[in-house]
Amino acid sequence: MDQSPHRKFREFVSAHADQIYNHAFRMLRNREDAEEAVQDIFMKVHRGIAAFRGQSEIRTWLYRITVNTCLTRLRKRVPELVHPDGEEPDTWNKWDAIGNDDHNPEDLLIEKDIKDFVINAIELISSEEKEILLLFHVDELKYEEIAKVLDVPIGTVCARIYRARKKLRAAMGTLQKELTR
Amino acid sequence: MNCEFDHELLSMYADGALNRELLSHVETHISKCEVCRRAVEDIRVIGKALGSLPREAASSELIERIIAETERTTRRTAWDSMKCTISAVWTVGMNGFKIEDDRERLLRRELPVWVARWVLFV
Repeated sequence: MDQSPHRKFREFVSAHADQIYNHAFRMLRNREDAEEAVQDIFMKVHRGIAAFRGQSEIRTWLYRITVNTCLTRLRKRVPELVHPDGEEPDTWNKWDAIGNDDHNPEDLLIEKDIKDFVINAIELISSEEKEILLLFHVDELKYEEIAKVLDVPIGTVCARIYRARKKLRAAMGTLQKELTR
Repeated sequence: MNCEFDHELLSMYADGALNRELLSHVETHISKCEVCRRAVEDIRVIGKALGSLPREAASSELIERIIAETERTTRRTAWDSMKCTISAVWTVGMNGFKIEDDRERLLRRELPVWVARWVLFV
């Protein structure tokens, strides 16, 4: 058997495993789930990699598989989840409404605390909103790449990033109020 | 204090995603508007915080597990293809013989012996 494709695939996995694991872990918040997801992602890649040539296409394709795999796992998990305040999923609407609060830029958070707020607040926004913020800020994909990953126009990416950030900012404000109460 | 300026544009500006024309439009506005300048700063601070979240790395065990699983799958796929080919050849061969048998039986039953013998030998 030709060993070369195995070696190439090993190099591919070694080059991308950290990024993909980091993304999966941030999305799923559980090491075991993230490891299973990453294994699942690379198995899907292995099955379809022969069709790909260009490096940039591979990157967006890899992230597309990652996004779909993580969101599918999260959707399967949702019925088992209970929100931090013990509510059933049906009553989560008030969390969805978080983003409707217009924040005042004068409420700018102190930078040294902001990372803690971000880590907690990002869990309060929807998976899709969290996903797009991670793709941009953590995985450092450009708007054009995110558009390809999510298979939407660039204008939609701009709007979704804006809305996700607005909700995140509002969730941070909510957490800040909780702490100062 | 509020400003009616398009906040989606501010978001794109903070991300460096505007074309030259819009960039100049936003820069002109924020040079005069303290509220929007602070909104941009707010977006950047949040972006910086997101970007500096600790990076989790895949363990070497996970990478080895993935490689081992893909190699196992490749071997299994190769073996499955071989089994499939053998099975196809076997099936065609057996059915071919079966057709020959049926044809022979039919010919022997329906036709005069001398004709059947002639057809079968031809």
